[in-house]
Amino acid sequence: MSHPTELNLMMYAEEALDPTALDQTGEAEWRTVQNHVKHCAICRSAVEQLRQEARGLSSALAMATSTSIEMPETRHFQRQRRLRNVTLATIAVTLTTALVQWSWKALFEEMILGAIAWAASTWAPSIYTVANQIFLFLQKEGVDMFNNHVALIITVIGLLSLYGLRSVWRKPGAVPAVLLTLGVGATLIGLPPASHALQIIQQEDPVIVAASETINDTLLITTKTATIHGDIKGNLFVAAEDIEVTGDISGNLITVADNVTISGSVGGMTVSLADAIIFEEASIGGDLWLAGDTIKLDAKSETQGNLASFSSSLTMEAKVAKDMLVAAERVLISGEIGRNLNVATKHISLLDDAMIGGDIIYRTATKDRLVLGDDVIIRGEIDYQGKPQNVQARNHFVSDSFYLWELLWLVGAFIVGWLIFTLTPSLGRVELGDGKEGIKTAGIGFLVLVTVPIVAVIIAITVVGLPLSFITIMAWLTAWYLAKIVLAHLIGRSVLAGRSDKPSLVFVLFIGLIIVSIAINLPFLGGVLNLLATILGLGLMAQLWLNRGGSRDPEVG
Amino acid sequence: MADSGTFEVLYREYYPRVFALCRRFLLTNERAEDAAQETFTRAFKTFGHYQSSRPFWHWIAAIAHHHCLDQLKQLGRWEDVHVDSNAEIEHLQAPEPLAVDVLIASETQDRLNAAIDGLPAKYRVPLVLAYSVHLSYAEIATLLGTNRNHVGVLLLRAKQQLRRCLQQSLDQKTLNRGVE
Repeated sequence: MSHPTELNLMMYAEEALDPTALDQTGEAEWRTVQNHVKHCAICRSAVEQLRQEARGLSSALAMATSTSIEMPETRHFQRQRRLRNVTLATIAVTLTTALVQWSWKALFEEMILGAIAWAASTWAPSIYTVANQIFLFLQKEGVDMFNNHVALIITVIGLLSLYGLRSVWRKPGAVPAVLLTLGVGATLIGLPPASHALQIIQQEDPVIVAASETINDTLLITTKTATIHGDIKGNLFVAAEDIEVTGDISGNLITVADNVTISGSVGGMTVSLADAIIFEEASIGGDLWLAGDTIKLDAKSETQGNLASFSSSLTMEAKVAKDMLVAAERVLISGEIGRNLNVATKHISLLDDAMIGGDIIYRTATKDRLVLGDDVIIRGEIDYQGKPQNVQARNHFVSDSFYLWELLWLVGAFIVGWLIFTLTPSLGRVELGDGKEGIKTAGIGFLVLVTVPIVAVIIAITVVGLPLSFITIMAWLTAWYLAKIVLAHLIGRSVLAGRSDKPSLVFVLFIGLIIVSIAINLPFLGGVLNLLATILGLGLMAQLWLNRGGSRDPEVG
Repeated sequence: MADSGTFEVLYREYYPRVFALCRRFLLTNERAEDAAQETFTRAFKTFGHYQSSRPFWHWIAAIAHHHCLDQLKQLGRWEDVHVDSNAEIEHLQAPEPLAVDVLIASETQDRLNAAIDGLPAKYRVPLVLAYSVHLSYAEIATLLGTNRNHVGVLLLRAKQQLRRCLQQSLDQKTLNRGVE
């Protein structure tokens, strides 16, 4: 009887001739060896010896592995990486951001916007009409969809929150953080409702509130044509193609339309977004906020507050008790302004009847674009401030409000940061990789920044997806806000990495936020750094979410 | 992107094993230390791709032996495993007496290490992959770019050389005792 070779016996002994993993030849080989071993005591013994030999080798090599080895310092290994990687990543991502900014400006601003403007000039309706149509659509369909799915949305958000919180209950600080969150949420939900009720009118047919009619609620109207002759003892919100208001509104008036004509009196402020906005013998108690293509206020209209207007052309014959702020291509003023007139325009003309109680501060391409009638009364001074684009270059560091807002942002970011890093500790352990990983993170962040709102709009178009679209946009806005906080925490950790003791979350956040706050407000570079911080933060969060399965503690083999 | 806290724990836990594996391939402590560091650096970079369903040791060992093979090639220590591959397949008519495990038991760890280190790289590498990393013949074949049978031949050759080396050492020891 011929014995199999030692090679065959060894492979058989070590299951390298596994019949399930072989082709027909291999299977035949395995059967031959197996049949032989079954009947041959010598080979059976040899197979056993080979198995013992393999076990001996394995344990001998394992013993060798367990011999004491001098291990290099872990900190040295990681700190070296971090400094190098952060430097490389910063350089790489800065270059990417510069490229993206350039591309965005060159492609989007110059080409795409140019194309849209050209197309719009040939066939498209005005932006106000489009905005109005979208608002009407969302208002009509969105409210229905939201009402129908509100229970589902709340349930889903609740379940997702519980799922997200499942792993943090036992972490230090988790319970107060969760209680604080729940407390804030409950307070917001439990806030007392408005003192008066809300009446909603939604219909295709024209809505007419007759002169004899008085509505004692806040009124929300969406329709094609709205005519308000009666009195409203509350606020009035109207979205329609054509709006006419001749009655008295005790509260605020907010309109979105193609054409708006206001002839009545409004107790509060008036906000109007429309193609054409016309005030005829109107009396406004508060401020006027107007944006449109053509805006006209006749000589018998007046407002007790300020007027802020953004339009192509503005004809202002009315009386404005306080300041007037205008941005328009053409401005014609023959009315009375109680205080200052602040205007950025191509041409401004003050006719004979005009009276300005304070200064005129104007920005035009050249100083002579201001035309004054012979009998114009100006009680203050005329201050020419150059081209409109130069306005933005003014130093905002000298204003108190800048520091106030920065302080508010810091405090808000600090509280939010403390909450999110306590509730989701994994977010506090994200790392920026080396140069290549940094570019990847920035790329993902940029994609999130740009694509998510586009996707949300596409989802919204399907109507059925409106609630999902709403949630997506909310999540996107939240992520946008959190992005800089996440990056600030990473920077804080990197800066404090050299300390012997582990720095507290409060200290890390404080240092990180201060650095980010200074960086994004640097002259010239601040804008780029702000964008960079946002896309990096978004990228880090997106990667953490995408890798959430892999970031858990791996099982030790 | 890695979770640095988790990775630090894994680094402490696995560094000795990774170092020992690299030492087996590269033979010197300096090269093994560099290779182990590089292995963990690569692992840290690609930690996002690690799937927790797979034992961490398998994953890090794969990174380590890939890197070590590259190093061996760069150092010119890696002979082509295909050279005379057909000639190496011997058809033994009967199994040889087998005693590696007995020999191992009789030897000190240092001598065993020396015997393994004394093997040519083309035998040492598959031996370590099979009995230290516990890769299958098929996995070793894929890694070395050869076939399963040839891996068997390389392992058999490795064991035969190891047996001879350990037997000589044992004979020498017996002789020394006789002289005493």
